[in-house]
Amino acid sequence: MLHSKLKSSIFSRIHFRKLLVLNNSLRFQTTVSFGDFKELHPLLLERAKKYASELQLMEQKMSQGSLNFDVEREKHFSRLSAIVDSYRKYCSEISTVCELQVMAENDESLREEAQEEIKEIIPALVKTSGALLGHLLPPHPFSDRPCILEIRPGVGGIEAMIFAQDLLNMYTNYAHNKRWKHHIISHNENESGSGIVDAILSIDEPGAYEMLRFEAGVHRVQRIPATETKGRTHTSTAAVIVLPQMAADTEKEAQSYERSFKPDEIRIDVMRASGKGGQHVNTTDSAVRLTHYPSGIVINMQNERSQHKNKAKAFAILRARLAEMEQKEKEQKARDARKGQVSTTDRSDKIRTYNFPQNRITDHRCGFNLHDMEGFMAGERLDDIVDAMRNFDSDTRANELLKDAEDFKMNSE
Amino acid sequence: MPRIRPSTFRKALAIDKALPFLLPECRSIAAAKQELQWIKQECHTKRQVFEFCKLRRNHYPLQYLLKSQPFGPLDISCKRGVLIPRWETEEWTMDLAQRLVSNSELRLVDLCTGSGCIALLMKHLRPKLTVNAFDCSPLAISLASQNAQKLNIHVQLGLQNILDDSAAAALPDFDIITCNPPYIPHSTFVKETSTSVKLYEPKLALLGSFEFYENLVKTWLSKTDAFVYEVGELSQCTYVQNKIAQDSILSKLWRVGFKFDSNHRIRVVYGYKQANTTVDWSKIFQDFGELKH
Repeated sequence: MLHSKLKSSIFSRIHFRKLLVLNNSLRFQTTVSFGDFKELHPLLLERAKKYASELQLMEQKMSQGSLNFDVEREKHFSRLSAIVDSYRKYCSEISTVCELQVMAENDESLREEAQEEIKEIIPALVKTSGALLGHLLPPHPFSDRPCILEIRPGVGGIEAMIFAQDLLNMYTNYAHNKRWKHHIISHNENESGSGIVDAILSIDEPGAYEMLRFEAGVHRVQRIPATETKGRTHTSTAAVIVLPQMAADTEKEAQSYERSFKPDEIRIDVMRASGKGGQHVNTTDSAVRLTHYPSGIVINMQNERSQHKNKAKAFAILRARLAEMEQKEKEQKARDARKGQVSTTDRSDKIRTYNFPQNRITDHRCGFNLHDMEGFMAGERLDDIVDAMRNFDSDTRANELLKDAEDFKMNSE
Repeated sequence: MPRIRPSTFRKALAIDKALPFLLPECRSIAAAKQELQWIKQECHTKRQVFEFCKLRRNHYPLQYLLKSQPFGPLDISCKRGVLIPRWETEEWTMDLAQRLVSNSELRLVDLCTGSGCIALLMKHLRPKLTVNAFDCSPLAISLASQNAQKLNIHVQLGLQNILDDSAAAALPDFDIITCNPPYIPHSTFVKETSTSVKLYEPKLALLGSFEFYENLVKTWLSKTDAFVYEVGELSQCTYVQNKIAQDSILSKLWRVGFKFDSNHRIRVVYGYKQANTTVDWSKIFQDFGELKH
C-alpha cells in the first residue's frame, strides 16, 4: 500500500513544496498520508510558525537583558521552546521524507533504498507530529495538577464492588509502577470485606491529572464473578471520577480556603450522639459530613482518627469537585457555542469494557483494543490506552479547532 | 442504649476474630472495623491487637491504648490519670484561635490544662501568644510538659490549685483566660456519664458543679479582659451570666455569651470587657456564640 501511494503522489509533492514555504491558504485542505501517518493541517503549522517568531522575539529581548525575571513569562517561554523544538523536528523530518520521495521517483536505482528509509522514518514522524499537535492545542487548564481518583461500584452488587476494588488496585499499581507518590484518602469496604463501597485515591504527581483524566466514566466488566456458582458471565459496572487536586498542602492555605465559604453555603455535620457530650463521653468516632448547598455536593469522610484531618480532606475533595464542575461547565458552554457538536468524552456513557473471557479491553471512545487483561489489571499496560486516548483527544480537538477556523473564515467571507 | 444483637456479634466474628470485642464500645460493625484498623496501625503483633481489643471490651479508652489523641493539627499524648481531650474542646479552641489575628501578642492563661491541649494548640496556631498553663495535678503537669517538649511548643506550665485565691494574685494581668474545668455534677455522674469515662478517666478532671465558675467571677475576672470556659450544662452558663449581671460594676463592664457545639449541646460560656482592652474583643467574638448579656 505504501508503495502505490508513493508512486501516485505527484500531487502530494506539490503540496509538500507549498507547505515548506508555508502556504497561507486556509482552503487548501488536502492532506497526505503515508501509511498511518497523516500530515498536520497547514493551519496548525501556521500557528507553530507564529510561535517560532514569538520565541525569537522573546529570545532577542532576553539577550538584551531588558526583561526582568517573571515566573509567568518563564513558563510561557519554556512552553514556546517546547513547541518550537518539536516544530523544527517535524519540519526537518518531513523535508527528509520529501527528499527521499523525490529520490525514489526520479532515480530507479535508489528507489528500493529510499523507500526502505521512508518506512523507517515514518514511525518517528508519527510520534513527532503527535507531540507537535499536543503542544499546539491549548493545554487543559489543570494539566499540570496532581489528581484525585474516586471509585464507586455501579450496577452488579458484590461483583461490582469487587471490580471497583480491582480498579483501585490497578490505579494504585499504575502509580506505583510510574514511581508516583500516591496515597489512599478514604477506603470503605463492604460488609463482607470482599470489595469496596467507595474509595478515594490521591496521586500526588504533578501532571497526573493530564494522564488520567480520560479514565473518568463508567467502566464495564464482563466476567464470571467469584460470587457466581453456576458459571454464568455477568456484566457489572464501576464509576471512576477523576478530579484535579487544587488545594496546596500547607495548613494555612487549606484554612483560608475553608473560610472562603459563606456559613450558609456550607454545613459540617459531625457525629450525632444523644447525651450531653463533652466530658461525659469519650468517643472515637471522628466522621465528618460536609454539605455544599449551592452545588449539592455531599462528602463523607471518616478514615482518620482526627476530626480535623477528616474535615481538611473533605474540603480538599470539595475543592477538586467544584473546580472540575466549573471546568465542565466552561467546556459545555464552548461546545454549545459551536452548535451541536457531539462530545466524545461524556462521562455518563460507558467508556470501556473489560471482557475477561476474551482477555480483551476495549475503549469505546477511540475504539482501541488491548488483549492483555493480566498486564492491564496490574497497571502495566494502562499507558497503552492512556496514550491512545490522548492521541484521539488531540485529534478531535484539532478537528474542532480547524472547523472553527473554517467557519470563521466562511463567515468573514 | 439498645442491646447489640447476637447476630451482629456473629457477623463481626466472621469478618475478624478480634472484631466482636470492639462492638460494646463502638456499637456498629462499621465503626468497629474502623477502630480495628486504627488499632492495627499501631500494633506490631496480632497478639497485641487481640489484647487491645479485649481491653476495649472492658471499656478501656482507645486513646489510652494508642497513647495519643489528635487535637487539631497536633497529636496530644494521653496517659491514665489525665483527661483525654474531647472533640468539642478541639472545635471551640480552633475557632477561638482563628479569630485572633495571626501575629497577635496577647497573654493567654489556660486553667485546668490537663494534657495541655488547649494551651498547646493556641500557641501552635498563634505563635506570638504568651501562654501560661496551670493544673493542680502533678500527673497532668508532667504529661503537659512532655507534650510541649515532644511538639516543640513553648508554654509556661505551673502546678497550682486555681481554686486557691493566692494563685491569681501571684500572676500579672493578662488578656484572655481559657479553661476546661471539671463540670459533671455528682448527682448526674452515674447516670449521664459513659462507662468508659466513669471507669478509667480521673474523677479529679470530671467532677465539679459551680465551684470553678464561682471562682472565675470571684478571682479571675479582675485579672483578665476576656474568658472562655467550657461547660456541661446550661445552668453553669446562666450561673456565670447571673453573677455578672447581679454585680453592678461587672454588669456594666462585661458582656457574656453562650456557644453551642456542632452536636447542638451547650458547650462554652464566654465573656469580654467592653472597654479599656488591648484589642477589640467584641470584634473577635462576633458570631462566636450567642450574646446573652
